[in-house]
Amino acid sequence: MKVKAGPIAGLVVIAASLAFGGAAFVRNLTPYLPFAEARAATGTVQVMGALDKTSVQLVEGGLRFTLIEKGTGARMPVVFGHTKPANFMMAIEITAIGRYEGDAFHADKLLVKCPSKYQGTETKSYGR
Amino acid sequence: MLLGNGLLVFALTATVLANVLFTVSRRKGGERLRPWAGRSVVAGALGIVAASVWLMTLIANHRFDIHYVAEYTSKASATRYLVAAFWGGQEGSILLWAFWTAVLGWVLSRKSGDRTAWVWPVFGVVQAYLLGLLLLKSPFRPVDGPIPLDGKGLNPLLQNPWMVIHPPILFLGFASTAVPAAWTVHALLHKDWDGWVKSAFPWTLFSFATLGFGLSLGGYWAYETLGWGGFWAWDPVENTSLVPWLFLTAMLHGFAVQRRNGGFRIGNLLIGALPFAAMNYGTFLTRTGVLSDFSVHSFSSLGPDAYKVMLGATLLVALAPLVLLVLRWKGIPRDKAIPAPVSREAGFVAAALLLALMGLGVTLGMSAPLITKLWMPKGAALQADYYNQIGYPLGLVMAVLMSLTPYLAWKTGDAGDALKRLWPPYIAAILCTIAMTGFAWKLGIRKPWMVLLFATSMFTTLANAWLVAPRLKSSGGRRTLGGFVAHMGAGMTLAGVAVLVAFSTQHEAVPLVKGETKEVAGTKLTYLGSTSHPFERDNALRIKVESGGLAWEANPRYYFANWEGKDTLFANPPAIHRQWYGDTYLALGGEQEEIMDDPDRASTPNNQFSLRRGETKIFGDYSFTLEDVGFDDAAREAFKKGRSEFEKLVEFQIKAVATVRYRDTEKVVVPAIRIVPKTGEYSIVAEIPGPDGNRTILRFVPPPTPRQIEEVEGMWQQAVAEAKTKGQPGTPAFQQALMPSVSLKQRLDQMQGLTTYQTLRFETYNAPDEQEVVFVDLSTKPFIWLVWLGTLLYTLGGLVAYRRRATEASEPATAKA
Repeated sequence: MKVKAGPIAGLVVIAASLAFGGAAFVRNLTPYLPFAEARAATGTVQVMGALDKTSVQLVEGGLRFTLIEKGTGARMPVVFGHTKPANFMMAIEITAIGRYEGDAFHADKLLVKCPSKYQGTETKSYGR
Repeated sequence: MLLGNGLLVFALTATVLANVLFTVSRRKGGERLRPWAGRSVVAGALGIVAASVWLMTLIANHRFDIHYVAEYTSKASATRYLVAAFWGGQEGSILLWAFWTAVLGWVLSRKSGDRTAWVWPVFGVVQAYLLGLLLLKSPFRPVDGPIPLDGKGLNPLLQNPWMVIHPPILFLGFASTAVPAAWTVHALLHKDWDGWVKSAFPWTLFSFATLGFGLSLGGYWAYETLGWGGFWAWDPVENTSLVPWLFLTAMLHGFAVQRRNGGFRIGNLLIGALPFAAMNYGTFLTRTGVLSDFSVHSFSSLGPDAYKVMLGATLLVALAPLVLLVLRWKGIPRDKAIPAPVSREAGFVAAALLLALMGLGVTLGMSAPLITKLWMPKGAALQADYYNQIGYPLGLVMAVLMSLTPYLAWKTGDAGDALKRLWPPYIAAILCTIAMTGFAWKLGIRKPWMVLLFATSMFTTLANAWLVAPRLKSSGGRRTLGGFVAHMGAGMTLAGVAVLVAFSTQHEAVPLVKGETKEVAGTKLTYLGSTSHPFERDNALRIKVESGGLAWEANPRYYFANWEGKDTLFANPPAIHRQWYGDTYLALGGEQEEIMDDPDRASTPNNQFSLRRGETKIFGDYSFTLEDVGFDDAAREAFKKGRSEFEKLVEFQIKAVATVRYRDTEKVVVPAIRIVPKTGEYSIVAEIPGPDGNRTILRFVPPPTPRQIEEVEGMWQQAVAEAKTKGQPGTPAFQQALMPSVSLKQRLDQMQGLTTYQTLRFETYNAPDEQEVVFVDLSTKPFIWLVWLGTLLYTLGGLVAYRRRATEASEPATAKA
């Protein structure tokens, strides 16, 4: 039965890779959550809301702002440690990807959806 | 419209005819139909080429009655961007895909000899599909409604020399994946178990080289012009090209094994159509808008009909070869692929397996938003780290394989001998790694995983270089260099990535006050001013950089483009200072200030202020007086005649007449807003006196748009509604809840005042201003050239191997090689 060693080794490699890949997949999923759940969540999540334009503060090394959740009107302070995205103030909707820590949502990445006259909306992402 | 679509219909007819003729000609006595089938192929190809030429002609002649031309070009577009506009939009890029498909199909019909009649019809189906898609969403369809006098122009982000060269190469790579897929389906249909590999081999190498080169050009383009500092982000659009490339690379290894010993037949048949299928799947994901909440790139949907057609085609392309394979399963002859566990064959099979796994892993990742919708209402995205986590171990194992396998003989490898011959590159790689680790230690960087990746991939590069060197002497040796050169390149790119991950530094949103020197991680930055002003396309910031005994002036671009009726700041090209040990990358740190924020704020980087007629305001050495405001002559005439006459105007201007005093000079200037009702509002700036060598300008800021006002109004209404839930209007609870939003109300009143032109807003650029601040991103990219050089090498290696396999494919069939 020596002949079968090859295929078996192959299957083991594939199974191990699948398990490894599956674990990486689950670990890196970032679900969209309502603000209330996002505050309690552990790990990286995404929240979506409208920008409170009066709340935007440019600070050294990044910016702070507040998102307002559709429907509930709940507010979420967000800290973004990167450069302020272009067209930020025109955003109609912002998705922040990160985690809630202390008293604010620390975003690693923002998806900024802007009104675009000709193509409906346009989404751009910022941060890493 | 008529001619363009006519040509498409003609091409579609010719393609279908070629298919029918080829199929009939396979019957006994049907050979005499072959020349006619060949002519139909040429006719179809010419039809597509003619349609492409016609679209180019329409673009060059500013035929704005055609939707596509009006959408992506304008009279002001430079010639090279007229060329780029051909593929700047969805329909045009599909036509580009069809164009290359036609060219390749023609070559395929010439190069496949007796088997053309069997393989071409498969390819013809692809060509017919693309033509069908083009007829469904035609680039030649007319505009809805009145014909515009000028087009909208190409998105400023795409007005870039790279846009002229990158898409044609990438789409050539895209289109060429259909050829190996056609050969695979042909092999399964007609039980051509070995011949197809010989014929498809050069095509697969061609595809690998062009798609790989297209990918690296895309990365280089992003790095050089978008200013976010990277070249790869695991975005769906990027993955759409990467996955087929991974499958193609896997296939090359499987092909080499089958060509050698006839093994791995099923593996090759399984993977043969995957590059094309993956490309279609990626195109479906990125062109139909299903991922628009999850990606950097903006997608516009092709419409529901095209969506269904693309979904159908994607499923067909992915499933049909699989079904055929299952049906043919029993009849496929099986030869042993791996003669010994330590042999070159074993290494090749492992490479094919790992590369295919990586391809599947990336496909899984880019499908995450769709897959998770099965159990999450809004779906979930994957963090880019997923790709790094699966890519890292695979990259590491592949680097080891790429170092060892070339040293193993076919059939029976002698591990001991290979290891003996591997000593010199092994020692050299260790020396490189020690140098790198020492460097890292000195800088206080501890990333053992990156050191490990660097060591193995450096080993790959050196081990393959050791084999390349002696082969350069003879022409026979040079012929077989391809694989080694490609692996040198792959190792180099991986090593470059390891160095970048370990050593790159990044400082974002660094504020620089004009004239003051700021030190950021050992680098001194001094903001000196601008080369011109931000409404000129080539305007750049002037920033003096002093680092490690060197000093230079960095000029990151800073330019507002007229886009969709607004002066918009797009991603601006960064300033890259290149040295042998790496790049210093200085980019504009996002939007400098919000014009909408506060009309009366006299602050950085621009003075912004508003004036009523006759009013004077003083800022430092400047004083501004608004003398008058009015329409241009034509508009005034039309206005007198009545509303309907005025509404007929294609464009008009609102001019502000202002007196500017700067120290002892006084000047009357007329900044204006050019309003084009169909497309938007543009600023015409005026030059005002300033200190020498500085172009100082005054801009008349357009009033807020109704939409912007609506938005603020909506936010105010929401704040009121929210406050009402806290208490009745008038009660302290209500007042308190509303307090934080009072500024909204103030802004709303201000904006409404502005729209009536009672108050005009202005801003100055480059006016002397001690407080002027810009924000920049500063990063270092050590040894990034390793990545670029690596990608060039694997492309070159692919082309060298292509020559060898193309020669083989054109030789008459002999006994098993």
